[in-house]
Amino acid sequence: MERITIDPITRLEGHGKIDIFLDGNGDVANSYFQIPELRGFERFCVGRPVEEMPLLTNRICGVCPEAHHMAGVKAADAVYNVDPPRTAKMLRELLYMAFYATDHTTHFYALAGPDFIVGPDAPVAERNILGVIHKVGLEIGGKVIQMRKFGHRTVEMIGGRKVHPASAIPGGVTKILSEEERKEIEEMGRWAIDFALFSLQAFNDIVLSNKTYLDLIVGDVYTHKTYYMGLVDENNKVNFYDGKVRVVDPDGKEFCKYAPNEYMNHIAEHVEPWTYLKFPYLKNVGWKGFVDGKDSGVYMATPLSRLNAADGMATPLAQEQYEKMYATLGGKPVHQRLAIHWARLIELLYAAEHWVELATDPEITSPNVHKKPTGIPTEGVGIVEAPRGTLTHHYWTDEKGLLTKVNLIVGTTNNYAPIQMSTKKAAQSLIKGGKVSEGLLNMVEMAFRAYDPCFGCATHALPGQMPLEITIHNSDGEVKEVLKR
Amino acid sequence: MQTIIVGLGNPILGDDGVGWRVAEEVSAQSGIMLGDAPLPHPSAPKPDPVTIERFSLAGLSLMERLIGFDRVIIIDSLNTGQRKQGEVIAFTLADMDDLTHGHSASAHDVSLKNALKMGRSMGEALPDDLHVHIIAIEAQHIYDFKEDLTPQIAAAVPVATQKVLDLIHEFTQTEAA
Repeated sequence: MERITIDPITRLEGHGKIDIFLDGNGDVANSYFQIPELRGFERFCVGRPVEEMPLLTNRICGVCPEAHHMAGVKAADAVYNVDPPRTAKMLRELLYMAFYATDHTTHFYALAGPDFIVGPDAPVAERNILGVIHKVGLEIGGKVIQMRKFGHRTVEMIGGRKVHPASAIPGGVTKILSEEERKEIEEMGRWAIDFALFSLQAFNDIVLSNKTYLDLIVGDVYTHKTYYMGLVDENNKVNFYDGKVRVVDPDGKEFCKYAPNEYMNHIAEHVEPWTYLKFPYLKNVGWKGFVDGKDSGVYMATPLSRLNAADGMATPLAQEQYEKMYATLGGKPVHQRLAIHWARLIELLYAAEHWVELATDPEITSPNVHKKPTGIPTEGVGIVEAPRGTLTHHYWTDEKGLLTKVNLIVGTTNNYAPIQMSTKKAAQSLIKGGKVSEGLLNMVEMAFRAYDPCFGCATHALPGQMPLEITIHNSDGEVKEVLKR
Repeated sequence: MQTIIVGLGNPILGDDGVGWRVAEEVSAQSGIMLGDAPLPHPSAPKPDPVTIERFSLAGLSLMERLIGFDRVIIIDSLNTGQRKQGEVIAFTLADMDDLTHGHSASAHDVSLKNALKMGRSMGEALPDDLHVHIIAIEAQHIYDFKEDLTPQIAAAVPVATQKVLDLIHEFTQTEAA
């Protein structure tokens, strides 16, 4: 049989591609990280009924369909000016907690784990989830699979479908939870709490107790002092599903707090000639380039940002871990990007705890799950926290509810500017006087992997994964070296 | 022997949806219903349950949906840029290089190859790489939101469909022998 070799370069047209330009001294002058842009989504949507959006947008991405489903239905609620019954909101949120627990688990064990558990210097062939299992033991792999099974099962029970949930509609949800289902979901949630605690303990034992790893986390290479964004509830606690968007400045002080429909007063998008993807920034600070500090409108929206932007966690065990993290890393806000991994595990615990809170609410099995929208549709914004950052859906319709305009700001896009800065900083520390240090690929990878950038759209076509390519150019712009894997 | 046929891709991303279209065509021609349905004629000489699904999944999530099957046929778009648009090629996962060994610039997941290794090491019933057949259709326009296929890719649908049907036939022959 013919052997199939897929040349990474051809697959890389504009994806996972980093160009580094050196100055006359051979130091890094600039670096450009390109990620793909999906084209034509707005045109694709215009003319469709707005209630199709929660189903359609969850097809944008194979990784976080649940996040798009939720942002989409919340925007559709807003378009119809309908406030769903409490039980409907709780069911949506319960599904969302199960999704979060699954997603954060996958990221930690499959993506971050290899760097911290197998080690950043380990051979590439070992730096994957198999290496993690090899090092920590089969038990951990079994737990990861179990966590994912429980997450999928809960999403399926509430969302009506295994992968792309279909139950949320404007005004509520289509499916009532039975007592039998509720019991099963509660049990799975209790297991998830134990799993989250186990994961935090593993992080403590393997990462925090290892000086090399701790130094890597608190070191300067991965530090940027930027603004931080996250959704908060009425007590300024982290919330994934609902609330107001709060932004804190690099000193941790509240800079602004706004309702979803006010986002355009606060967020603007910067365009660069070398990439199709836009860079969102804080409008009221202004775009000053890819720099950090209080005068630069660059913000970050990640698990760590959410923790930085809030006053705490809404559940007791997660709150304990929240306090521990800030005590260990020297108070709020934490600017070290690799701490995003720690924050992600604290969020995993919150998601599991809240999962059980919702599953044990006396009203969760109430049949009152839908309020019929009666208003004339106009315009609406829905915001949720996707695992990778604040997700905004904005729809405009005519009086029949047919879409006339759509705007989305997706999780990863929020972080495009900080990712750009982090990859550049990692490159600067590893390329000096024209000499490229060993491990450049690893360190650059670690820089952006912390943000958990999602190019889910690109996962479908074979080979199903994007290789990384770094091209280093000399001061004349000529290609000096190409590193790839 | 249990076989699952998976049309892979995103049905709203132009030619990336070709895997779905082929799965639908295989279903129409074979009479095997889409979804978790067994063969319509259980008394027929080839009683192996064949399942046809359409997924937009990769890595771990895809692996989880293959648990319990002895053979897998995945139909997907392939973007090498080195082949003619619409060219259909068949290979197995064992023939495919594991480009990234894991996760480099990853799209938030592990490769299917590693996901399967992981699943097997956890004791899940999964086929080996030689039994994961891939029918791939070279396609370039996989980043544009639209629901229809470009003509060259649409023309490849019957070719790929026949390859899938041939594979199923081959399986049943092998089993009968």
